[in-house]
Amino acid sequence: MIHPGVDEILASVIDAVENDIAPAAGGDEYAASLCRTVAQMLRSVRVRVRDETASLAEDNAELRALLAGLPRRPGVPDEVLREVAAAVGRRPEPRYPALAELQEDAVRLRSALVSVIDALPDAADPVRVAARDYLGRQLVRERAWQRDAFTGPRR
Amino acid sequence: MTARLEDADFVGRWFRHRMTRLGPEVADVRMHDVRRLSRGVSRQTWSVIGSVLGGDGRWSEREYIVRRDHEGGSIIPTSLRTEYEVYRRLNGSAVPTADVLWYEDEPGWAPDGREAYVRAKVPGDWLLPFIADDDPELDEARVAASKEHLDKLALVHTLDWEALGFGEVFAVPPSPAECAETLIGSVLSRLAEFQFEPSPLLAECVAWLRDAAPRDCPRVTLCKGTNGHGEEVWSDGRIVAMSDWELAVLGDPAYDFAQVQEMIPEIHRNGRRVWGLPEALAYHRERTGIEITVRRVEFYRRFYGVLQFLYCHHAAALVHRKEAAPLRFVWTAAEVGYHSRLRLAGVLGIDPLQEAPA
Repeated sequence: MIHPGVDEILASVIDAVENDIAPAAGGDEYAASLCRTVAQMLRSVRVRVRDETASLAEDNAELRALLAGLPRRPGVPDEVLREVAAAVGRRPEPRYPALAELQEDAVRLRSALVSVIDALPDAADPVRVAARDYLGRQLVRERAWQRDAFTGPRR
Repeated sequence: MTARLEDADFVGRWFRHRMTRLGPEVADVRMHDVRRLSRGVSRQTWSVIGSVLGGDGRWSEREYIVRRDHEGGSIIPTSLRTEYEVYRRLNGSAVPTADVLWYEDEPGWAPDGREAYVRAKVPGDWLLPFIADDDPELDEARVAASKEHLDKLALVHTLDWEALGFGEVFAVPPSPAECAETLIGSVLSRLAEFQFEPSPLLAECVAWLRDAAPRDCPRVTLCKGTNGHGEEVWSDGRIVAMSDWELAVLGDPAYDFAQVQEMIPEIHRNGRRVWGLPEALAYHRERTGIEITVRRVEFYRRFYGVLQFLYCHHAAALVHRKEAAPLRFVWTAAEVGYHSRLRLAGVLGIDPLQEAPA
């Protein structure tokens, strides 16, 4: 499943730290202080997860344009110009759309697959067989954060 | 007026207002301790302790339980009122349960503005420390506890549910043969009320379950749902109250055997079967006359993946609608939700976690 996503999870963790755990710290000032730090750090992480990719892409584009103008300036040593040219020329491949777009895409595609499954009553139909194989691989892709990341007691 | 459940003064006024529900002889009440209990995730369970003045002029200590939804709702998508109605119908029957005292939905008295119900606390313990211990010296005790649990399940399964009005609470299968299909249909109807993400895995699994649905159930019974170790109250080797009816339905009693927690231990000694599912089913048949096959129990074990998906998706839907949802809802929606999908995959023979051979 797509939801709850990172943003929903972090919002809930912050709320638990501030409204359930911190009040229970009682007179332990250090524990209460740590709760405040945890909540504020998580607020930062929440926004960072949302914004960092776009922000860094924009930042790199601006810096690339700035550096691309350098070779035309006199007085810059050749080794620096070579370093600049190498850095400017080596841009990462744009691989993935934004997460929100991917999530919307996934909902459309998965909804379509539900309709296909409902329309093909024969479980042995090659499309149904292929769908089941795909569903197994979907679970494998999520395994790292949905299962393996959890260690120790949960409650 | 402060109407918070944490506020013992308010709770004292509330219980005094409802004093007649505590018993006809009760002349006064003083509540002095209110605390939230940690067991249970789906709903909130609170303990209220105080003293009541009886008709004999003496004060005695009593403990009550308050049940209500979390502020954001409940994880299991059945209403609090349904839970209350199950208890209300069972009170006075052969099935041991805590007595429910009243359902509070009056504005001004419902704590924190949320509906709640109050029931008596039944003294006892949910913990049976020996039940999972494979020490042969404990075999006798483990089998005896298992039989006690089966005796109580037999009471549930032979209850006259029609006379007690359970047909007004749950979907009624048109015939015993249609128990499985009715259950699948009612769960999907419930899911459709809040589903916000498509699940091809569920669609595949439901198609499989419909094909495999057993039609040889001989009788429609009340089924408890979640049952076994951790769900019932024990005292002196006996179950004195059956708790947690959130997944109760009308259907095939095999549904309950698929959800027994630890109370049917598989015991083998010196190459001989001492106890296990076949023996438990035979014991249950002697008491109820109801034939339950291992095959039907296996079907409902697979079906449990759909139930788990249902409540995990319900938690996810509540999280999705709310800013800063309760953390336990989020955890249920995330990790438990993933495990529900693994269970659904298992129904289809998919084991995505199997390591590829080296």
